[in-house]
Amino acid sequence: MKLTNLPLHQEARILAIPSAIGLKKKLLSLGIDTQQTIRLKYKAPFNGPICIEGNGQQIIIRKKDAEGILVQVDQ
Amino acid sequence: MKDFNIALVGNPNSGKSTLFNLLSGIRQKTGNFPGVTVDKKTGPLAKESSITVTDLPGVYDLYPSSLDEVVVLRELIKKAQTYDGLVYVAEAPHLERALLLYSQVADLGYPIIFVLNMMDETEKQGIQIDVKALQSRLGIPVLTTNARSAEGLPELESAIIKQDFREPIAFFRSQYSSAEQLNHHGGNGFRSWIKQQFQLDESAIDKAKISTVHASKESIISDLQKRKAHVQKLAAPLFQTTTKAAKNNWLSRLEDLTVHPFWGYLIFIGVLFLIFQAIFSWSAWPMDLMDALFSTASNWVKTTFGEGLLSRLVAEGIIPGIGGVLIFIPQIALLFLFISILEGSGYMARVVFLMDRLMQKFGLSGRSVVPLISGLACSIPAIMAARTIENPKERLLTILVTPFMTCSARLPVYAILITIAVPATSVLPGINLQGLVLLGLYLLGTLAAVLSAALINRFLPQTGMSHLVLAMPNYRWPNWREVVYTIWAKVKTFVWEAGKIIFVISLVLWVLASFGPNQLEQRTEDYKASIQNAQQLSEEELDKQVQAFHLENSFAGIMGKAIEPIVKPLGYDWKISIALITSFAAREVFVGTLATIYSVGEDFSDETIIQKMTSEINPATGERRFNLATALSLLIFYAFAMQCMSTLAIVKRETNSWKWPILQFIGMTVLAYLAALVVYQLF
Repeated sequence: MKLTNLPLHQEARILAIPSAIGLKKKLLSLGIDTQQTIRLKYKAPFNGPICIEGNGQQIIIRKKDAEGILVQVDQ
Repeated sequence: MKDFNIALVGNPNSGKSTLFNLLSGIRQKTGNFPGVTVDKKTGPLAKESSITVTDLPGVYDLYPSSLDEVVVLRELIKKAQTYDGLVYVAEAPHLERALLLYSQVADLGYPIIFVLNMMDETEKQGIQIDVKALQSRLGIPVLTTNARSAEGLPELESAIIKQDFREPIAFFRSQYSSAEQLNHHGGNGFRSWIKQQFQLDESAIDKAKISTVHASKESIISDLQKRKAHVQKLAAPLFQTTTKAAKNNWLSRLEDLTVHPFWGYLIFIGVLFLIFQAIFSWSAWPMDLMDALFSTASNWVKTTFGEGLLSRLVAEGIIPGIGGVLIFIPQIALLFLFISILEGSGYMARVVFLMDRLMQKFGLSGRSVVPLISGLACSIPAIMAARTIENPKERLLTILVTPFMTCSARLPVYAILITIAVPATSVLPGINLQGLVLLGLYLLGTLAAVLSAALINRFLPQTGMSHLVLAMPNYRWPNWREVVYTIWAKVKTFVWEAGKIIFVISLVLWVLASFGPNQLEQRTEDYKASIQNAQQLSEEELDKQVQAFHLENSFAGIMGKAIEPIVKPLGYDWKISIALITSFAAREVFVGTLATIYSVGEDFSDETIIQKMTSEINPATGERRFNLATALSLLIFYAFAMQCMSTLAIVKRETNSWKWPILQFIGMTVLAYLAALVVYQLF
């Protein structure tokens, strides 16, 4: 599923990050890559950015960038 | 001792700048890196002045996708190697992240001292880091510090003075050194690889013309993945959880509250209100004090040295010129007090989170909100504050539209024009029409700012990547030492950099208003003699009449009369034209100039000038000169026009070119003219 469709506070594993817009590089240098387990911590109202928690830090991502990120909720 | 240059390298929020302030102290200088407007802070080491320390911008890796990263890469790979050694600052709680950038810097082959900062934070979290093991893995000395409490500083200082920089164990360097590359570039294979990946030649590196599009390449991504896996393996065994950390409930409550969809915005509005209030009213008394000080000084010069040319140059040109620069210091200091608290505490990242969506609609960034709101007090500190916006395009847009915000210099102009033209009738109980018009002008300015941002946004090419990925640091107390240094650096920069331009322009305006062609001094004397005989005037009134005659026939007066035909369709006569020209020095001069032209003297009470202006008759129509149409047209003109040379000077500095301030000046003036024309013709 899309990262943006993840319910608040839900943990999930990242499956894919699009590389075309340099998003992947930025997340990588912050220590976030595919297979990383993250948690959706906050959502700003009116389709604003989202904030995820993973690898010991909180990261703000603009919603239209986050839409390309695919995650899976592991049972 | 031979000169020795070192640089501090590390992630954002690693405490690098705090360490820099501790190392270099008050003698630091803030400038720009050549060719780009990214802060470059340098200073001699406080304990050993032959060693120069540079604070490089905080980055997460060396492959640039933003301007800050371009600067760091350029500084580290340019041919004329600038640094003899690097101090690598790693944030202990995020050691793994820090080691990623470190692995790249180590592969560049610099001698390094490794500093593990914020040890107290990991201890608070109940985590121990095995420093000895880290040291043996890296192959260089590892020092531990707490930049906040200056713990570990003496050890760091003595290591730097002893030049105890050592070449670290490389990570992947040997893998980049194909024989062919080494033949081509010689030396370090990793350097050659980066140059190849980003298609750099020496001149591109020199001019910081490094394209950021390459940062998304497959080879770059896989290089970072390789490094990430490696440092993960390296860091994992170093950490040892000793005690279960007590979660700080108070902080996490604050965290939740400040990004809350309702409370978060309410808190943010409160913060903005506090900033606005501070710049607007707290700065009033030091500014008034300074104003009084400078006018006393110039009066003293005039009375002590007489009315000679040199004395007048000092009293009416130089002293007000310096005063005009220094008067902005309280506002700049107050705004940067708040901004450095917002940045230092980590709140700014929350502002971005809350405001990004709204500002994106206009092509601006979440961070643009603070400069725009500060623009309500004064554009100068506001434009300087736009430096916190990373994306160059969003930053430029913010700089270009901030002067539309209704600054405090427009208030005296608005106040006098509204008093003359708008009746004080109450529309609703407690609300009168004058107040409503003033409120409307504030809204008009804000609308003009965001709408013009949206418009200009369409014409500007996209620079850098438009995505937003931002680490949200944990809340912490701002470091007060750093707050003080930030304010000091900003004030100093303003006074030296923008101050020179403002000073020169105010001298030019003084010359224009004080001198005229055809022996103006002689003609003024003749005029004085003629009215002295014709009318029975008091000494004071005579002086005012003479001053008015002098200004009318000065170069500024002639220019005012020359542009009368152009501004006639807006409903202005030559007197208003002169005031328009002189108010390019600063908007509030409008009132003073009108006072002089209507010969009511400089220290008028509002009553007299309002009476004069109200009773002024337009000879062509026989009606009041300042009727509703003219006053409204002037109000609109002042709302839109770029009549502030100090702002233009600061835009020149912040954009590093004359192109943007000139375009801004033309654009805003044309808009002001057209809008005022429409308003005058409608009423």
